[in-house]
Amino acid sequence: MSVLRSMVVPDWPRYIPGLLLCVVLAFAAMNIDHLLGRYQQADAAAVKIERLQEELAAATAADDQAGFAGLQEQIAAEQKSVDKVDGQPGDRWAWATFFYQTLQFKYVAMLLIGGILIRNLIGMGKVFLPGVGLARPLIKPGIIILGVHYVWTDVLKVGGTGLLLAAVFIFGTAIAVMWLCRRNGVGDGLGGIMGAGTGVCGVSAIIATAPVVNAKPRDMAYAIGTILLFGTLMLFIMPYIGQALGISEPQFGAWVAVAILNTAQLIAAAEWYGEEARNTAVLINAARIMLIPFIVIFAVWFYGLQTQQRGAGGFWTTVRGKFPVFILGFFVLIILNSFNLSLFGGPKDTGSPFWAMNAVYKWFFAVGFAGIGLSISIEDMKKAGGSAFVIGSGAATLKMILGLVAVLLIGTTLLQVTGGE
Amino acid sequence: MGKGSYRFPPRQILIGIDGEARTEAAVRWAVQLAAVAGSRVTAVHVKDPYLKQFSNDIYAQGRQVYRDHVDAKLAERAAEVVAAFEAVVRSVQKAGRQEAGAGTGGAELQYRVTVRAGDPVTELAAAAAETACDLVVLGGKNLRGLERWRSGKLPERLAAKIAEVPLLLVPAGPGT
Repeated sequence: MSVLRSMVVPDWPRYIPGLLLCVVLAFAAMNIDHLLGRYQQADAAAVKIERLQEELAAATAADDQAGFAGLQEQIAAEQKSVDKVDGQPGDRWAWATFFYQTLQFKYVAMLLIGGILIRNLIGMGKVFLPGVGLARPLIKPGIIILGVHYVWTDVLKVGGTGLLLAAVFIFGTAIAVMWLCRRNGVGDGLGGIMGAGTGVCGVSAIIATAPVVNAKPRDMAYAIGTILLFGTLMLFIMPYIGQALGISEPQFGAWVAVAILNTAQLIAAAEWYGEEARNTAVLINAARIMLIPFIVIFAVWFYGLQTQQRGAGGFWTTVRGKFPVFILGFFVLIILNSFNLSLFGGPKDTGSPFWAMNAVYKWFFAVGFAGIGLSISIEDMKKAGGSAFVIGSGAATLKMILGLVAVLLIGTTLLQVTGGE
Repeated sequence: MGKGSYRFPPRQILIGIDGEARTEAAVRWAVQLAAVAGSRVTAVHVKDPYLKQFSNDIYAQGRQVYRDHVDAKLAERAAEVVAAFEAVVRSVQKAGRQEAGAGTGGAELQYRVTVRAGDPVTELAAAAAETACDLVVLGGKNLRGLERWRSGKLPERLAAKIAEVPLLLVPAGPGT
């Protein structure tokens, strides 16, 4: 009994309002997304049916029996999408295509934009803050569940390519930033957290590194504000750039995985762009965040720090203390999925355990993204300033450009997650 | 006392201190006023732990170590701010004694320094209510453009919250 009691935080009612708010928003966004999606499919089907009927007329005129039958089958298939929305022949739903396809107004965008607008324009009462803070890490179970999309060969291929790419970008950025800061007289504390923040992945890395490099509160405010600002900007800009340049989904996933400065925004951008983008991004990001303990160790070495009091300790203590253990759950699921056991099934086997888990991950993401949107406060971003801002903007721009060049050179195949297909 | 009239001279003055250059002029002003009017001074420093909210970022590791680090740094800063305030009090008292001439005692300034934790506006408003102060003194800077947009605008927000107490805003001197 006391084990159970020790798992429940004494002030747990504090978290209820915020969590409820996130769940409600997630529910609304998922339903609107689903509805928009259905109408958009119907619209696409209606357009296709028109074209197919023209071909049908041509086939009739040419007396092409086989072609006629084939086209009729296709029309019947497309008709299903139209029937789902009780459409009449000739109906169009161009508005759905506009919102869903052109603007990419999907559940991710709705929750992030909606959350940011609510937090900053309408305002969010303080009573919601604890629950919203708790909602954000709910993305973690979602990420672990995503493990069912991969098999071990993906980890070796995409993970391997991704790890190389990530290692170059991470250590390159971190070393460059820390060295430039030293050179330009920026304090070691700020240099350390900006190196970790821009290199590895934003706020999480700053949390791990700040105590070790003895960062001051003002520097932490500058650094976190800068990362949040550029991470959020990149989240909204890069998908449109990607679409404009026609980048493939796996390439986009790799691009955001190395370029976007903060994990939350990175996952949101990838999920927004498409399934394959998300699969690639999550895998490469997993490699990236596993490097957190090593960046901490590097910072200790670079700044010649005393480790004992700063929560770093020796090599293995640091690795144990700063390693994101939950990511192992992700890899466990990948291993299980690689065995291709009928016991577990797979994301495409309707009714199997892994299929059920896959159906659920979106809800963890939805609640998590609601939390993320609601926690992006312009007040925090305004605190970006000082040298952190200059460093952050330089790092963000360079990573975007170099990252884009890199993924275009590497190409789609090496970055594509197959999931055992 | 009629409606809208306040106790004058103020018996209890509340001064918000943050150790910044822009606040020093306000601190001097408040202490000098208290010395002349015989008021009691309560200096309040608010530690703002807003940085701790980031500890639940998705992949954050070593969260408790980070939170402890923030607490330790805020406590360090609070000690510096309190020390700076007491230095200003001493220098004002010394200047006062020198002006009044050797041999003249002059009553010691009665003051108290409090450190609170939380949102600065909320805590200062609560402190104003708890001490039943007659005057709140804040330091401020005249900001323009981007700096103004970036600013947390503490004086404006506090003024909105403590509508029943006179608020004195002392602008930072030139060159700060």
